[in-house]
Amino acid sequence: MMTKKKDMLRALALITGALLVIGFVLWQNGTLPLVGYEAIIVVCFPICVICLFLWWMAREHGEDIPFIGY
Amino acid sequence: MIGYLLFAVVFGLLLLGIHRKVIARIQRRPGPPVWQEILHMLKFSFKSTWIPATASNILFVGVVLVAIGIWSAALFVLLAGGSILIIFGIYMLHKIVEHGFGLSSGSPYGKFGGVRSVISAASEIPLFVSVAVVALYTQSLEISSIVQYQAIHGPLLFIVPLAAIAMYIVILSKMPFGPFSIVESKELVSGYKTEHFGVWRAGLEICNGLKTYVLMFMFITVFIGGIPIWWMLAGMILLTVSLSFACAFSPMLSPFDSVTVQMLITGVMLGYAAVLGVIA
Repeated sequence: MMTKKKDMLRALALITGALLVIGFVLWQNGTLPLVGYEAIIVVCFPICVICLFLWWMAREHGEDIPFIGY
Repeated sequence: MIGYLLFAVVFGLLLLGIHRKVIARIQRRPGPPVWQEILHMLKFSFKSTWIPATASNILFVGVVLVAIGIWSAALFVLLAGGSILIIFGIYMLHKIVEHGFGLSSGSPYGKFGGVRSVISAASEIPLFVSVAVVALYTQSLEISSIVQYQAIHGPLLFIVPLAAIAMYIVILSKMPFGPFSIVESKELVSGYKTEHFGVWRAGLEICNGLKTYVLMFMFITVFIGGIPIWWMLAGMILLTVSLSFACAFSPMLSPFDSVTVQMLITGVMLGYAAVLGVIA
């Protein structure tokens, strides 16, 4: 279950990372306008970073119940 | 572009590290190394992370993604010399993000932080007056036009100093450990970000780095003009040090005092804008 979740996160990080690279190449070619490349970054960069972090983070534990008052 | 974005994150975090270091030295403490915030971001990214049982899952995670996304967009608008109104729209959106951070967790500390974030919206009003004054002189809200105006007439810092001071106070209100930092004050643990730990906090650190970079860059661009990147970076460090001194030498105000002072500043700024409007 845990491995499956980690695999999914890695896949998502790779897909969004690949989109960032493709966007860069298309922008360099002149196929994609700068605004389009920037839009790809704005959407993909946060997902890529968070998925990457969730993939490489330490082992997961159970849910926590925050302090909800005395 | 992605390279510049990563640079902005790292340099923004470095500025926050310098901020902590300067405050510590003023208080005669050794303080953390200047790269501490970068290490924090990396450290949090390796920590075991989950979503608290009381949290609203989608909002809890989504707000972190939105926080990074909006400041990335702000950086691109700034670099493209786009409209200053878009950046201020994003600045206002950040308020909603802070609110979302606090409310999504289900923790009372987070909720209080979110509520205080709404109260501190008073700090944004001088920003609009500041923008109005700049527009009055430059006849434009495009950053590229504002830079062109300053290339001919000199820095706006000397033409409309009070507008610069108002924006300086707005940036001051966003700095940690400042007089208006009611959103993250210690009685609320970490305020709106109390329950966002581990990877979520690492994401928030990225957002903070970007936000600091964008706000400093914007202040220098709007009030000093377009300068070479090395001068820009040196200016951002100087601006950070001055803000650190302001934070170190002023007490943290209570929420109501903070709002009162900000409303007084707004009143002065409105009067200033009215006078300038009559003169112009």
